[in-house]
Amino acid sequence: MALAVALPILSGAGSHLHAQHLLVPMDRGQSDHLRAYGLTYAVIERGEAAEWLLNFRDGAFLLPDRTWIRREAAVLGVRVEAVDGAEVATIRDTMARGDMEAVLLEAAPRIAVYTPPNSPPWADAVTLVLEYAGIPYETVWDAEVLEGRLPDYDWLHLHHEDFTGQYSKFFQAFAATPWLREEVARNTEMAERFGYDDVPELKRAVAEGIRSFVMGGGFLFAMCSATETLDLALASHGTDITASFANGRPPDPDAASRMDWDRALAFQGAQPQLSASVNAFSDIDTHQVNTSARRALGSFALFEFSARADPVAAMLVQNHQAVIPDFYGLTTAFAADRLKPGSTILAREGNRVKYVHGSAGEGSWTFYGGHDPEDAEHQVGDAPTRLELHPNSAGYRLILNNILFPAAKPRPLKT
Amino acid sequence: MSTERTMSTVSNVGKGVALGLAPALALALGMALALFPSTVAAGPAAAAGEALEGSDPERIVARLADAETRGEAEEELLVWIRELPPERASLWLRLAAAVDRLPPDQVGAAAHAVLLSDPVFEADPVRQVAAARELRDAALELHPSGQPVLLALAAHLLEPEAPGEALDLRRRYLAGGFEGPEAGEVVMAVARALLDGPAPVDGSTGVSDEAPADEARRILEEFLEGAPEHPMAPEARRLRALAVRAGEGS
Repeated sequence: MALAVALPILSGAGSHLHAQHLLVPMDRGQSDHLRAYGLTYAVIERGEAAEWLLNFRDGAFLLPDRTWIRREAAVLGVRVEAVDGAEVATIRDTMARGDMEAVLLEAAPRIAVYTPPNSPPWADAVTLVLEYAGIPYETVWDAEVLEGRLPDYDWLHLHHEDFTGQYSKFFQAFAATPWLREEVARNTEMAERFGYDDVPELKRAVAEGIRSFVMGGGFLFAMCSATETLDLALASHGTDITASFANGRPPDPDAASRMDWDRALAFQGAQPQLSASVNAFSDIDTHQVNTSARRALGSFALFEFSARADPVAAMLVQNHQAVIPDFYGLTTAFAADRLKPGSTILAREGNRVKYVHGSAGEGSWTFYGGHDPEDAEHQVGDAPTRLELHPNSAGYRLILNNILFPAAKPRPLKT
Repeated sequence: MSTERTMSTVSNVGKGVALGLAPALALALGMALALFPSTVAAGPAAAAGEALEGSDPERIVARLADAETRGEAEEELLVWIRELPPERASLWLRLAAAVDRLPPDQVGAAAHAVLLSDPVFEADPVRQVAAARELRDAALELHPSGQPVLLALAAHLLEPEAPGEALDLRRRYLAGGFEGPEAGEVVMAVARALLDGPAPVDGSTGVSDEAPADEARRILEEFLEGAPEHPMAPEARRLRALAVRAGEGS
């Protein structure tokens, strides 16, 4: 049965049955997990076949044996193992005996990162790892979203954005800093340029554009405050949840009862934080890092998923480490009782959900709480993480799982 | 060196390399660890004292230049190095690591050039550069098989006062395809020089068709392809990332 299932992948290049492959192990024997994703991305970007071996050696990749791939692996420091046809057959037999599945990786996704054109005083974990792994991406911001250019991409990343238009509520602490003043000026100019009365209204329109992107088949990966504020912006279209410093008006005291959670992607029933002096967005976030109710960090555990019955979830949790130390963000983790039913929880610590995936329309979204997996208590102005010091980061692997996920073509399940 | 000492040296060199030491330094330390116990074990403490008594770098250099006393001088050198502060020790360790690989008729010149480069003994950069250039000239006249150590040493000695000439020599080293213990260090030095800004122009005769960032990237990738697990591979990858970024920005 294993060979009958495997043959469709090999039949497209029958002679490869006797050719060598390169196995990229992703267990603790791998020297650089993060760049292994970059190597695999480079392979499929050049039109070569690659397979993701879910649950085999912690999500290994099987690449064709080419001189340029071997060279690239050496240059990047990625450990690869040459395997011949017999060894590949043994691998497939092993996979068939366990809950493992090979997923074909096809076209490399076109990646966009939503980021303002200035230089914020903190780093973005996703752009850091894309740069480190050598995975190309383009940047977009409000103009590109509002001009309808998101369909040019397959994969969109959002990070420490505040789609409620309140500048992450940094006003009280950083009002005099040049970077925040520049951010206010830039956003105000954008609102005026596109005819919006204020920045919260602009950001809500951008949130709607992102929602449309997902509904139309796009893949959305959001971290940190983008997760929570995106849905707050979408759900608050009929009310006002923003502080007066953002739009000159006080928020609607009954906003919570007027939220339209049907518009949101992941959350429902949350209580928005209407006080301007409380640096939090809602009770979706379980850690409230910048408030007096700050919760201490723990560790979150990845769930295991059947590679055959649930290949999507299995792809997103491939890792060489099952329990990962937690890390703060403006949104650190999500209250389990604020998640809509139907989403798939991928990692949690008790009732604090760290990593969750769901579908919306033709597309899908993944939310991952926290700012930087290797900087547990990142402060504004801190130096960015140096990933060459964390080539085996389990937390960063979860980000990269999402990068390759759109390239995967899971086998149709037999009914 | 005896077979026993060689084996001991090889073992200690392996440990040094595993610790991430530059191969040349690891070799020198390996020699020191192998030789010193033997020196002590060869007789009573007086034997070690005799090796140390009256040691000074000028005397050691003179004895290195003499083929008949070279072996003992190597031992004395390693013992004397142990007393030096790190900034001086690294220079003399480089010589100690190179002696066995230098053409015999160049050992004296190399040792003399190193002596002139030691800030405690000579503060005349003109004489230092002249001596280093003599080494360079001697290296260029040698058969390629005898060149690598002298090229690398001459480049190191030229670098403070004539970085352009040092870069040229290192480029010659790389063009020669040499793979000695100093190869990694040479690659890193060339890459850093190319990435640090405009190429030094003092007396530089080397002309490359490639943009500096592209050249840096090429030599780093060639190095990594040949030695992906070399102790200097992480640094090579870091420099390569800088070269890629610099190349994209140009």
